[in-house]
Amino acid sequence: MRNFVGNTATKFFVAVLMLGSLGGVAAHADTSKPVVTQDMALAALTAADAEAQKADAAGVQWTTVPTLLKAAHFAYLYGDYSGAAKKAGMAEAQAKTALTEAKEQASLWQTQVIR
Amino acid sequence: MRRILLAGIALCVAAPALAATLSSPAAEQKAFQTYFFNKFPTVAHDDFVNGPYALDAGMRAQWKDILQFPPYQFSIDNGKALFSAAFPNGHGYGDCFANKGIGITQNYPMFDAKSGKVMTLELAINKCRTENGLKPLDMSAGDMADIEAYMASTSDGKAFAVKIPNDPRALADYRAGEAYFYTRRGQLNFSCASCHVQGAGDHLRSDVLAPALGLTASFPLYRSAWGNTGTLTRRFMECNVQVRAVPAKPDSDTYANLAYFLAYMNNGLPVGGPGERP
Repeated sequence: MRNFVGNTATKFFVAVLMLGSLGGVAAHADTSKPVVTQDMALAALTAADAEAQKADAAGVQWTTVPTLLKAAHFAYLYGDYSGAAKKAGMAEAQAKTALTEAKEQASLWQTQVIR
Repeated sequence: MRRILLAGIALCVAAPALAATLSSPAAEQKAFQTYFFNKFPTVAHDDFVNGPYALDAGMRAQWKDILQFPPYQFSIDNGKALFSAAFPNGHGYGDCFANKGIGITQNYPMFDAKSGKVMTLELAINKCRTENGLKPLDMSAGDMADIEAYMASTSDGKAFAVKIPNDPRALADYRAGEAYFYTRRGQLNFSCASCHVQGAGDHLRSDVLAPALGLTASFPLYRSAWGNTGTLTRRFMECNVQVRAVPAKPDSDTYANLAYFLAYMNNGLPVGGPGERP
């Protein structure tokens, strides 16, 4: 009987510790992960769309940008605001890089001409 | 007075620099061809139209075997039938071209003074169709590639003679094509020249990168990767996608100008189309 009580008490103590540590992990995860609201995701999408339109208009778009944007809009539509913002951020960055590449190449190409 | 003086100094500094960067197309063509003749001294000049087969003995042997039964022959046959068939209004393709469209491929692309634009053979075929009340063809493959294959076969061996007339618009189009050729683009930051000038003769996995000289001389091409005959426009679009750049529209001035520049560089080489590639 004493053994039974002892074992049960130990098990209970271990279970409490495990639950506590899980709670701690969850709490830690919650605080380390920024919460992305619908408005934030929408703002990220709007910014990415605008940058992508600039790259499109200049005829210097990368194939990866429309794919990322499509995925971002899809994620937004299904309520994954964090995923939407992340993908939109990547699309915006790549569209900006495409524009920078084009700006840089506007004169740099001439150094490659065979003369 | 001070402003005029400054402008004068700026002009003195900028003019020689501009002259150095913008030499004449004829001088650029000579330098372009000399570059490849020196880079591949053992390749016969006319052989540049055969792309990788001019550089790799193993690939050349396989190509010779393939040509026992040329895979583009079906395209030539179908193209001939399409070319010879009359439009519903009684006219035909032959009525739209010089010499009834026979043996003229070596002159394309050509600058059309009326529209002020470069006219590739593909654009000219579609212009012919629309002027006769027909819908334009897909510029990448199918009937367009077949008609072009037939027309190219009638020019087999004729030397490219693409002209840049004394028209500032023609020169501007040539320059635009040249700029496109040398400009890096896409996520991979490659230009056409990255592969076909600096990388010419190198391997990309098992592929041998063809030199830019003669690059467009054998189009349309039957590519094993495609499983059918395709046009130069199709290859341009494919190249763009391969470097992760969104392609231009098939009938865009961008591709017409690029084809103009490359064809002008080919001048003097024989028409090799239709061709075959891996």
